[in-house]
Amino acid sequence: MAAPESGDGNNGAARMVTLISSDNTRFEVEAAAASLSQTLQLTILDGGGGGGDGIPLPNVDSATLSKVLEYCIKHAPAAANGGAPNATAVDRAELERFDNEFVNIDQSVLYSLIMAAHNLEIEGLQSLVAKKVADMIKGKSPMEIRRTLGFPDPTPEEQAEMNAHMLEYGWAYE
Amino acid sequence: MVGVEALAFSFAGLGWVMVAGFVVWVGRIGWAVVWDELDENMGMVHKVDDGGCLGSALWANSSISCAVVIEVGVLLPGSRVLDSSHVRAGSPFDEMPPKDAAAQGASGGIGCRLNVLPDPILLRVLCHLKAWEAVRTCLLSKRWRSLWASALRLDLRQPCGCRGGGGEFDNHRRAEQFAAFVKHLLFRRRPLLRLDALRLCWSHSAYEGDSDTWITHAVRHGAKKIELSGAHHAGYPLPDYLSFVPGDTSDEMRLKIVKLIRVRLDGTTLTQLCSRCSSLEELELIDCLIEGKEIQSTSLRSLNLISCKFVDDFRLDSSNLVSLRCIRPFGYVPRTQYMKHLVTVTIVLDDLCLRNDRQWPPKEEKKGRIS
Repeated sequence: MAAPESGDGNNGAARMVTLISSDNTRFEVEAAAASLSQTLQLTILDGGGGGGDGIPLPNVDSATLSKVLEYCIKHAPAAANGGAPNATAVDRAELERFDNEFVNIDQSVLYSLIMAAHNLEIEGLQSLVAKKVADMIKGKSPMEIRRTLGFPDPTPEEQAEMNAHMLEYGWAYE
Repeated sequence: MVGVEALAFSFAGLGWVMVAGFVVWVGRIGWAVVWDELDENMGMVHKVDDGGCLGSALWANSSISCAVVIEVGVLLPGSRVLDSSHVRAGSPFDEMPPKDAAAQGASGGIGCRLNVLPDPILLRVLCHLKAWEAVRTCLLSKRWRSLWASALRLDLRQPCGCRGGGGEFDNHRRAEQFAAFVKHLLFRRRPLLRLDALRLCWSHSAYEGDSDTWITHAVRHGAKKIELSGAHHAGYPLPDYLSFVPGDTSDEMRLKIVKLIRVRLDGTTLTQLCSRCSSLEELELIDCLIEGKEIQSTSLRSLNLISCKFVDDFRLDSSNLVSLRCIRPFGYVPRTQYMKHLVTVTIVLDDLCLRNDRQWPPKEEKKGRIS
């Protein structure tokens, strides 16, 4: 097994931690990237996840975790700079492009990402996936929203409620 | 003793309701804290120029120039997948419960599964929607119906029909409908819920309320960011400064960011806004008609003045300013006091926008000002 070299974290710069997904796959990633997760941050600060041990994440499968880490690795340098102060327009544009492509994914993957971002408390990712779901709702009629998000067709009861609601807020549906 | 138990038992139901209510409330506060710095849309500091100061800001004669410092970011190496192995027992994350009951068994679209997600996730989604887009989610399920109005950030940017060429009667009808809608929305919000940010277009006064009413509501509910745009209005509307100030002085002042687009700011409004909003840190004025003589504030840290029209001798006296942008001022160029904390300055002048009846003293010319 390729053991993480600098687990004790004394040499700061490239400390690695190991995360273990629900299906027992181990991911080695820089501590700075994993620390974007508020949930993991304290454990990592306490020196957890280094050496031969890993941090088990029983709620996140390997496919989702690799996607989450892809996001974290990309965003870690900007976060390390304390957000925007040193970021240039070019950097920001690059991150934006990455984000747009990142959420261009299948709905089931998106759902897993929402849950993972929520459980791991990764602020930027939570915002990003929420925005993606919001984009799926924007500019659509209620029926289109239902179809886009895969809601079942409304029952006659629900349909009646919908009609009453649309009457009440008529102008919002123009 | 038995009596006490019976009493306790009879109130058990009520007790649980109260406990549940408290947990929900605490949860919401927790999320509110997490959301504090969420807003990227209304953030107002745009770092175009880096490390400059007033004296060294660069511009070319009658052309628009921006200095952009380009840095090349170094990407971290990708994560490596190691071989699967043991899972250490006793980790804090073993206890992390699967919060999504439906995640295991649900199939089909994302919608059914979204339905059972925790409130904070759905509220986050609603934050990205305008109010009349959010109201449509009511038609998805009961769950959304209880949530749609309660997002921490409200986007009510419904432009008035002034410049759209609609008839006066039609515009008035729409204004009334919209005001009724907003009133209903504010009424439907969960009680005691904080409102973090409000974005508005100027609205004509209607029986059920207008933009000043809604700003007042937001400020009283702890708003940090307020944006008001008069861009679709025929003239330059004058906002009521009192709506930005909490009525009761004991209220905590949380308003930090104000963004005003295409409004008129007379002397009283500007002075009162800057002096009475003691927590105001960022002010952005875009395309505004500034009739006041000065901006004076000790709390302001970031000031953006974009395409604003100034009067002669307009003074900027804000000693704690860290970032200043003054892009294409019309009429006259603001005069600034010495600001020792200033880190970032961007000034763009355009001769075509400036009046030529102003003689700059030689001292100002040294700083690179042109008239």
